[in-house]
Amino acid sequence: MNIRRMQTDILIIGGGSAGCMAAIRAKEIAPEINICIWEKADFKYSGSIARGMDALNIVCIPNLSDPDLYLEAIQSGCKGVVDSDPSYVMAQRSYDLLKKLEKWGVRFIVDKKGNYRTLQYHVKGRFQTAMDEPDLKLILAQKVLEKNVTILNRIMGISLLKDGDQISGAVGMNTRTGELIVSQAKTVILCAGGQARFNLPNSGYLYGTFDYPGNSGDGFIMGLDAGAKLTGMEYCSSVNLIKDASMPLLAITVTRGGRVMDCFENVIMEGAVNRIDEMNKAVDEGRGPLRISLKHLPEETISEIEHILFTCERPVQERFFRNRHIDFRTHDIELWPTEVQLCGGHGMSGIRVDENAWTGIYGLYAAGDVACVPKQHLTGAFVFGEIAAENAVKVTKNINDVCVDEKKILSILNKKESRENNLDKNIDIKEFEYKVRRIIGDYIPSPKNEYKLHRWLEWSKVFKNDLEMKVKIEDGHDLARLYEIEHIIRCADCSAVAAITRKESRWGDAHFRSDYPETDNQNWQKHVLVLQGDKYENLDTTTAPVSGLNQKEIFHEN
Amino acid sequence: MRIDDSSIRVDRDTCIACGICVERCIMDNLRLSVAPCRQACPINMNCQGYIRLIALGQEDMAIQQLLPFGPLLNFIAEKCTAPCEKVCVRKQKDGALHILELKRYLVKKYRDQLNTINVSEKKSNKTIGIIGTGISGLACGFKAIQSGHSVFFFTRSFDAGKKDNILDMIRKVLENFKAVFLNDKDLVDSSGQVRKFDALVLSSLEDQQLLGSEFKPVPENTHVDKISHQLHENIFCSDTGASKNNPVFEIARAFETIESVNRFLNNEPLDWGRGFYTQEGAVKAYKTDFRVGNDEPRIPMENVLGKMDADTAKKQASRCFSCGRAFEKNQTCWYCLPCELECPQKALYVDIPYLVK
Repeated sequence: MNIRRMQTDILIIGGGSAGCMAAIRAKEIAPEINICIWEKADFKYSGSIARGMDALNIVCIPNLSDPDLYLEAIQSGCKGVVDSDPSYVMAQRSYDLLKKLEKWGVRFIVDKKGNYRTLQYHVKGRFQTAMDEPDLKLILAQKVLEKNVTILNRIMGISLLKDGDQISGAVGMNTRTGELIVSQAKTVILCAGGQARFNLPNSGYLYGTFDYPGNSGDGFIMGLDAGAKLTGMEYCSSVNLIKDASMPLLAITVTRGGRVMDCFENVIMEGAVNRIDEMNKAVDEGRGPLRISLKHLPEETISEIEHILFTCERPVQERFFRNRHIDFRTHDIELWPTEVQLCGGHGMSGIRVDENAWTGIYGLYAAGDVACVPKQHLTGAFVFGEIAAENAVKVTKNINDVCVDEKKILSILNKKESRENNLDKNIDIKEFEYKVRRIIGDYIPSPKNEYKLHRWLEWSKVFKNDLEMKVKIEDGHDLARLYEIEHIIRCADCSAVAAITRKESRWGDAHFRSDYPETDNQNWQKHVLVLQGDKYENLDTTTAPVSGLNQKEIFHEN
Repeated sequence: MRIDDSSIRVDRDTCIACGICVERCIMDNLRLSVAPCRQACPINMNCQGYIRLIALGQEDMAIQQLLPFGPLLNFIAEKCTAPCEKVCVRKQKDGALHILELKRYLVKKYRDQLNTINVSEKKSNKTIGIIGTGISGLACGFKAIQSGHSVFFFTRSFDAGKKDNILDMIRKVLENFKAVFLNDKDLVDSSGQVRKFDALVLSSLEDQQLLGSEFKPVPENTHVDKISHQLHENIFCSDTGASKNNPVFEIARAFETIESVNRFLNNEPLDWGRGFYTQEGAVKAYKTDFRVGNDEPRIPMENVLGKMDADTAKKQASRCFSCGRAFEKNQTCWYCLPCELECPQKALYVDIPYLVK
């Protein structure tokens, strides 16, 4: 059998921000435990934060802001559909995290009095703490390497394995060669990112999006198959970012005094990123395109913005603006709605976890964009990486041995071999991905209605059949891509059934049902959960009340 | 819809086809087209790399390309039969590049720099026993020291009598890096127990006899695993019936063996990803069975050394066609730039494609 096998105690799927932090934390508290990381790209620069970062969006600095205030802000931002415990715990631990990162040499911007530079990103409170660290991922990777962790590059997770009700490992695939690998593991921490390859970007390319396009919802689908519950899949978030380039800049420019204006020069936001909904509304009402103006800022601030934009997160922006002859001193930056993404870190879709990063399945934890701790950003990935590791270590110590499910491995191998077989197949894989994502863009994002969403479900059946029977592949890369497209299709299924279930409109543009245009707090201020049914094609949905001990009165805008 | 607009530009003059950008590519977009000389090399040495660098007048950088082979280069430069020159593209036109001569030129000129070992920053507290101090054993020891392990050599009684200047030179370098040389009798202590190591490497299958009755020898008809070189648990053998035509194959086997040892000590699957890079244009990283003809031994190194000086070397090197280079294969660029950042030659430029520009 063409399958490689390995054994480890804790398997971390995904070596980005959350995965690195989980590995470091686990080794800190239990150096004797074997840890293995599977990374889809190359570990040194990988994940959504492939290079550096300009800020930690959520830090509760003592005497300046506190977790209760953050909870208020996030509950308002999520219109009440947020479990308070995870968000509260994250805010509580955020300052310790900042101190830890600072100790590792991550540079936070401090003024002469020794205070951190804070910026307003949320509706209330100044939680965003500025950072100037172009080599953040490098620092993390170095820390992991020092801890003697096994790292396997170019592996994407395909499926989790279970031993009874307990997690016993995972099956992965080499994204270059298409080899399968099976790892037996006592606990698994899923850090495989969100779904950033949903509908098509408007640039005309399949890739080149806001989030790392390697995040194709692998984690969602692995969790779903293993029995975890997905929440918030109907939240199709779209942000207004640089036209054509879709690169992040709102938090960097606006918090430093930039103005977001509509085409009639009405100022929507200035100095704080607190009215994202208003931006979407302005575009919907035909007041777009929006733009960011920095002209009025002093030279000092503009060069600071340039420095951060051009070095930290996506340095390629320098090239982009230079090509277009855009100088922030004289020109505005045009914004345009990006493609939709399903993401636990910036949106609110993902595997539902509690404050222990536990998914509800014995031995399975989730952290980062794959888990739903709404709008947790980088802080959440780091904090929940740590939390997941702490709990996984505890559980690992109680487990003696686990068996992998040989039958399931065999069925995965058979499926892979049939997909590799090119006989009578004639659809080009790029064309296939293009069409799938075009159709997703047609039917899934707002405005939604029951008819449209059902249309997608019909298309989905066609696509799943084509994927097995008609799409031809050339090499291992294409095979891995075929699996990614399968995950994209299945994420769209989840999004569609969740949207059908939620018979109301909420979160502005992210979930607007033209057949139920009103927000119904009475009946729908709760989670819509998606579960895998008894068969591959079947998805079940249920609803669950929002939980949490610090439940505050929900803050309604206006 | 098929938009194959390439956004990554590789400068052919300066690219040394080292493959770092391919390793770094986050979207698995880049691939390396490997130059024939490198494909033919048993130890996958980047000939194009150091030749291009000589041609560009950057000999200090050229040495960096050779450093991973350290003192073994003394042996390679002397004994290699240069399969690279047999496949050189230039051969069709006006005769193959004198690749081996250029290597010898560098080895002679920078011998002091090469007779050292860059030990990995990642410290290991593992001990490795190696039986045999021929080139195979020494190459194993070199690679193990490079990986940060402590190495104990056991000189076989029939090795001890042989006198070889090159091997002695390598041995001295290893000794400087704390390798311990013992007699094979020391392998078994006074109570008859074989000394314990985290991993044990035999340079010949026959060395099994030294392990005594406690270790069950492999039945004669089974071979050592060709990819992983594993014999039994933590015992490895670097001898898998290598081609005797080119002694450099011994070094290739040794490197593969230590790669397996490292994976074994690190709990990784031994054969994962090895021998599978067979797709067109992919890096052939662990190739073992590429042989080019039967080669006759070359003129001894010392006799030719005087011929090559800096100018002729540069002139000779600039004949190189630079066949290998990185290229964009899958059109999946995310413009994240680590490829550009890590390129040692700054030969790669990520442009923004027309549709986004």
